[in-house]
Amino acid sequence: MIPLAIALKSQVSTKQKLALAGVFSLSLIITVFSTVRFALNRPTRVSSPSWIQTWTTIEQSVSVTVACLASFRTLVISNKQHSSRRNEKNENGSTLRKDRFPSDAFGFSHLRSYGASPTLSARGSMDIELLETRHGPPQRTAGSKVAEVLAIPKASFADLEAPYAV
Amino acid sequence: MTSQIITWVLLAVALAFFTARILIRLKVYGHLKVDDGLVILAVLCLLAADILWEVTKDTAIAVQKVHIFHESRPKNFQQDLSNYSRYIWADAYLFFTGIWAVKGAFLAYYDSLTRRLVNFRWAWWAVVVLTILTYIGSLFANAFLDGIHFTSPIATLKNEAINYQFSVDFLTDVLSTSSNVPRKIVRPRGKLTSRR
Repeated sequence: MIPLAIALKSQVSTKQKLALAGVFSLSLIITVFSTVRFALNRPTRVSSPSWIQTWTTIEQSVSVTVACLASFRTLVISNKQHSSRRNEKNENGSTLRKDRFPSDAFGFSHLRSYGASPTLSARGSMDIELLETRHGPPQRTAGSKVAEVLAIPKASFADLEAPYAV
Repeated sequence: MTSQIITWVLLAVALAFFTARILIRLKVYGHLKVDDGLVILAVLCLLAADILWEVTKDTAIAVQKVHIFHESRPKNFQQDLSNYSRYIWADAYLFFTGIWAVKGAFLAYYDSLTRRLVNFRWAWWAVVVLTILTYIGSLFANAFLDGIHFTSPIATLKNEAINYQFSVDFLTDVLSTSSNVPRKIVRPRGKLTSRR
């Protein structure tokens, strides 16, 4: 509940709040099924074994599904970014990449660490970051560290570290 | 029949999501990580549990008919009882291993996300240690769950074991959710922009 409260109070867009709340509350879905199974499985209650087993399987299946669910955001984000990139042009007529950060495996392209280019951040594209990573200088190249922490493909950082086409 | 349909449909859905996750991870990273390994373990446990139930469900229902609905004992009942006890144990171990593997997968992902959050590490480690201990505890408590004794003295222990297993399952789920975002992790956009 704590991360949900933080996500909802943070000054980010409603879409981002919902996305954060969604991913952070995924494991809470499992607790709902866990509670139902517990209620059915109480010794004071006589339940059909097949239904107890069914709820056990439901909890297990939902757990696996939920653990995999967040990865799907990547596809949505990637497609959106891809289509928006195609439509935007800068003053010189070259393609302007609105969001240069590729999504991580969970689709949180807006989660940044210290290693990310400050120029990018000054442009307001960085909404949320891992604050404590900013206490010291990056130990490696910016791209490699961000790629490591947020699991962004290193190949994509060729764009990130290059000067913007503005 | 309904429970069978639900079981296999959910398994198919879980396998579809799992396959997609693995493909996405391979595409994004080029290789699998620890959390993927734990999800693979969870899927294997789920698959094994479903197959086990399919194989032993007739025995389970026969035993429960006698113990719960007090029907007359069929032939080879003692053998059924023995098989059912083994099934209950195996199924519980598969269940808890699968569920705890998913918790571990979440924690492993948060680990990679927050590795440099020095002040937060102790909380993450505390949750990891608690999760491991509660997993061991759940397996231990499973010794009191034979699925057969409903009125014997063991029933009291069984009650406590079920309460314990549910409590730690619930607690570790909430903790692994709570531990993923420390208070300082989310920073308002305006504040960040003005600072720079």
